[in-house]
Amino acid sequence: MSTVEISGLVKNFGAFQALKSIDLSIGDGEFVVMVGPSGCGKSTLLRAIAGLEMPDDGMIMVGDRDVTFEEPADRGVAMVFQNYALYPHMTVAGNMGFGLKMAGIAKDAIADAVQRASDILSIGDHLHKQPKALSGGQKQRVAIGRAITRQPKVFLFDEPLSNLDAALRTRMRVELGRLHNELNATMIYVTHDQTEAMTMADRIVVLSSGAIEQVGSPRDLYNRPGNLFVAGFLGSPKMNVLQATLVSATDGELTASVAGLPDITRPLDVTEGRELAVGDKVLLGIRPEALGEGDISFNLKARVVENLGRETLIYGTPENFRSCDGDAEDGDIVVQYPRQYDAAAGQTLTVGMPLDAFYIFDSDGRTRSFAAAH
Amino acid sequence: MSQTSRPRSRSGNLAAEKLTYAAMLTPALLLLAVFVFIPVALVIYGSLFDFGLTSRDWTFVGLGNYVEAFGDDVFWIALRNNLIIVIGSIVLQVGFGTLLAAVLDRGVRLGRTLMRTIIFAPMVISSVAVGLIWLIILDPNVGPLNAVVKGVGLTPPKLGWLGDPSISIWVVLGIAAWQYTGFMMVLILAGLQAVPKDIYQAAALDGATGLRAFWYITLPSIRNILIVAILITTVGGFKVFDLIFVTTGGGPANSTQVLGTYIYLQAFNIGEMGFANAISVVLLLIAVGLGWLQLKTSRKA
Amino acid sequence: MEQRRFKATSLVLYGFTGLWSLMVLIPIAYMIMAAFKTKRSMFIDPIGWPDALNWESFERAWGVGVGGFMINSVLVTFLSVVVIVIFSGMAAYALTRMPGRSGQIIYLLIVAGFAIPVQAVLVPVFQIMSGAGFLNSRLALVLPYAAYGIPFTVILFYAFFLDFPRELEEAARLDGCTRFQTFLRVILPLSGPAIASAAIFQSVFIWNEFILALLILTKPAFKTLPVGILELQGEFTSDWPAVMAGLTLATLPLLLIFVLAQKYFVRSLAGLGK
Ligand SMILES: Nc1ncnc2c1ncn2[C@@H]1O[C@H](COP(=O)(O)OP(=O)(O)OP(=O)(O)O)[C@@H](O)[C@H]1O
Ligand SMILES: [Mg+2]
Repeated sequence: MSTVEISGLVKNFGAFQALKSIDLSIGDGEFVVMVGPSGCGKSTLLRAIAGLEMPDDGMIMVGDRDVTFEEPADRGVAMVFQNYALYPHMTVAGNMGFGLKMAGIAKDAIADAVQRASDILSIGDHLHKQPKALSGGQKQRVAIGRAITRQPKVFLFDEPLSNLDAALRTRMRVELGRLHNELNATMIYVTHDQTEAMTMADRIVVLSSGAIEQVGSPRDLYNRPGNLFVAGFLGSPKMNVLQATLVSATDGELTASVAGLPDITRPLDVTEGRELAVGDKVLLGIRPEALGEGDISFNLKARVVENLGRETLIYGTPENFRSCDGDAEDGDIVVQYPRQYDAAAGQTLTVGMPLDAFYIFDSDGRTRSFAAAH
Repeated sequence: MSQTSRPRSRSGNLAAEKLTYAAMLTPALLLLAVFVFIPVALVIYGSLFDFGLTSRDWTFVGLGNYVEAFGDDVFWIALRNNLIIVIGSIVLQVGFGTLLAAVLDRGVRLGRTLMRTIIFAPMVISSVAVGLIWLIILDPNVGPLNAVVKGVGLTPPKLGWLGDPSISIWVVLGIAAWQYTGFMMVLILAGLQAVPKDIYQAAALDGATGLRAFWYITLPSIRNILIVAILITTVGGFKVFDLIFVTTGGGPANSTQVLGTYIYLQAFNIGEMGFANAISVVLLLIAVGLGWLQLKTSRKA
Repeated sequence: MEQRRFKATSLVLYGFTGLWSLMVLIPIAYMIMAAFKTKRSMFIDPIGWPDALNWESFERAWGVGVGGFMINSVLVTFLSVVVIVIFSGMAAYALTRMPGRSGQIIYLLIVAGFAIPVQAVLVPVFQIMSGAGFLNSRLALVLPYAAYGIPFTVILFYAFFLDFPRELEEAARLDGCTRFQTFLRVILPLSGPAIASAAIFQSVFIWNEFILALLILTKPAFKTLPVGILELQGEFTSDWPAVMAGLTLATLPLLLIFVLAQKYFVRSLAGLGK
């Protein structure tokens, strides 16, 4: 239970800059989830906190202690690896107690700590088995148990659930949430899975190419993404993006014109950033679930209809406008209905569009107007 | 912690790591230095002198030993014999080894392990024992081979199998094949077993079965293993010593002399250490050249 | 028709491998058989069966000191293999984990050592051994044996350690192990297959090593089996049954071990092709 303070952290692999001056403070007992595209440096950051990578510059503090150059074992952190990394030649109990044994703790005390941790995770029946005799889920529990036994100040997880099947992943996700409440420990968690990020995190950190794009609560990041990257990264299917031209920028209002749609007028929510002028190229974003009903309507020629039971995704070509980015291709857009919707590919549908559901991004990709809450 | 102490603690970590690595490397490197690298330097250095086994005075002769070696008939006989053994062993050991391996891999089910075990077994017998066994079997007076040959009405060589200079090197070659073909077979068999079996089925659909499958599918897919096998055999052919030392001692009349036995003879029986060193340098160059070749091919593989 | 042709081919295949197996087996079988013959029957009828199980040849051979040679061989082989495995394991681990290029450079140097045959450095190695007063020392013979076994074993371990899962070592570091403790407590216990492979390989070679033993061990009491059994030939110039008995004693133990554990031998030696 401890804060983590990262400042100016840089990590280079040869000429490649994997982390470009990361600043991040994590509160005591906070559950922080790091997301970002593959190769963006999530693992590198986590491993730098663990002490497995030596940073080239910057500082890492755990609590009020500078641990930047401490040995991994002396930092008060424990890590859970994606592929469990259990010692195959030790029993479950041996695995869980190994860290304490190396620290020179007495046998009885180790046995107690192992017992306590195994109770929390209900793996008491397996303590004397070899790891190879366990299922994937049990192995992951043991790996978590090994971390708990050491009573670390900070838990580090690197995609711990990605090797499990979908059902088990959901169960472990809930269990990890419970564990976080029960231990009240600081946890830093790397994942690819948006559901994990949205459901477990107190705060999400979005990384891209070795730099932090935005930090905030899951809802905040989803509703008020700071830039086009975050807006596109969170949410599935992705936001539909259209090209537009600014036709007016006055009195705290922006008006953009899009070929084939009426002009869109939104309040200027973010004043910092590049100077906006009439004629600027801007981008408009609208989430698939915002479409369906609204102020105006347009014709959509459905190309693919995905009925997912709870919701229906329709990929199609709008009759009078084009998108420039999103999960659909060739200028198509995606519409998400929160219900079953009878439609077939090839059919032309009428789709509603609320004009206040648009985000406006300037040519640097920075968000200048947020969509209204619906 | 103060700013100034931080860089020091980082380099402290690194220094401790480096020290660990150095400590872990030292024993092995020390042994290699004393028994491999320093001797290589000494061989080259010593080849420029005339000196005996126990003599204290070394006379500098420059390249004299090399001139002497290249003008020495026995040196050339020895080199030729090494080449005979290398080429003969590739043909016999790698050739028959491949055939045996192919048969064991695909053709034969029953008794496969038994035959593999038997054919491989001579590999775990020392060459000295192998040499002695064959020395007795080939003995002109009491050898069972002569008894068999005479029994079927043929005449064995008058001077003995190993005593006739015109055939002795070929007999030695045969004994070497007896000992090492099993090793080659096992090596190649491991390669064959790594070939996915479904490509044979695909080949059969394309009309390649039996010998044609062996030629067009089996051989190309174990190309790398075959190269390794040929290199191992080549290196072994230049290093051969034990078998010849025991069976013929290089004789009769130097007809089975090889570089290894000739170095030993010159150094420890005649006492021409400098001359022996010059021949050693030749052997060294061959060995390093082959090693380099091996490295290059394994890199490519 | 197809069926018949198939039978004919498999008959030829069986015939070929069977014949080769027989060719390998006969000399070994003959060695054992001849050991039971008398000198007389060996002379008169070399291919006939022994009249009875004569153990006298074995007694004569044993009298030359085959037992002592065997003990020497076991001692030298065991010690050398232990030294080789430990030194090579440590070196290979350090080489795979060292940062930067220095590890690769030293590795190449060791690979180069693999190419140097002992025959080519016989004179200086003898000079070094005799200069250090190591002639006729079984323990000192372990040193060059270890030196010549190290390159191949380092190559074997190097490949093994490169493939070793990185996370296991990192978990060990987080659990408080130093580099060396990680090696000792995590890497070594999980290197069983590589160690077994290296140990078998080196055992076979050192057990049978001849040329260095010939140079270094000249007193009969210190000789290992390969040089020791040469004594038989000198001792019994025409007593072939005694020589065969000595050879049987010398070769049968390893042959038996091989037959029992042939799977591991084959696997280990076949690994050379990788
Ligand atoms: N030891 C290393 N040497 C060189 N480059 C490295 C090393 N480790 C990581 N990198 C590079 O640093 C970048 C960040 O890697 P990292 O593993 O942190 O990505 P990640 O965000 O965890 O990706 P993923 O989601 O695929 O796990 C990648 O481009 C990777 O290639
Ligand atoms: Mg990662």
